[in-house]
Amino acid sequence: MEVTKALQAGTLLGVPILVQNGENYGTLCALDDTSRSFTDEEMKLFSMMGKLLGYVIDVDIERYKTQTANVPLVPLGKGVVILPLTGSVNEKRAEAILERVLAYSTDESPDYMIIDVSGLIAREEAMTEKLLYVVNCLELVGTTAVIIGVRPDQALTLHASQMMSNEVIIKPSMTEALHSIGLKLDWR
Amino acid sequence: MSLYDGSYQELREAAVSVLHRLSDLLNINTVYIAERVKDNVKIAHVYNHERELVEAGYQTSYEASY
Repeated sequence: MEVTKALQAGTLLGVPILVQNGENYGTLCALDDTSRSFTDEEMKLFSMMGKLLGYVIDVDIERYKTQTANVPLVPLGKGVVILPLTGSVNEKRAEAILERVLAYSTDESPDYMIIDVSGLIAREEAMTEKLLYVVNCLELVGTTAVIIGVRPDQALTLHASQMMSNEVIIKPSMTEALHSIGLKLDWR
Repeated sequence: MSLYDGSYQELREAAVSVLHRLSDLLNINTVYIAERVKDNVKIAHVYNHERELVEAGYQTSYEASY
């Protein structure tokens, strides 16, 4: 390394940092401007730290994946699409959801989007606001949102944020949501 | 790296203490994490104990890094 050249009689110890399927993220390095040697134990510790840092980066990558890639849109046909939201929604994921949902809505122009919120993690009050934002944006591109699966704790936040007074369609179940938009589940 | 181009939040937090601790334990001045970005190597995180041998953000081509 250019740095090491300048150091002349220096020391450089490096281990690769590997992530996921063995892809190389980079290197963990130790550097000094004096010459020295390392014991086996020291080198083992160093290489273990490199491995551990790889796992830490894995966590970052996985989190990114779940936040951005996890926007399942299930087309039901006849201009109806279902969006089952699960897990937790932070700022980044809300952004990803909004982007994906709006892109879909513009491309496919469904009349209705049924958003199932029952899988969301309880007590995330900020989520309600984001949900309302998504609903409003959908309205602008011509898709009516129907929210289903509101749990008691979510109902409280929805009410607190005055969502009830808005023109948001909320239904207790999928059956009723479908019924309200003119589709009927017919079991035989 | 192609997998992910966002911010490594967990790594950032872990790096601060891990690099510092390694420098202490191995009694070595500088410990750093170099990230491969396409054909370049970038110093993503660094801990310099006494002398600043490596600067965070320093970037060089992959070939020149060895």
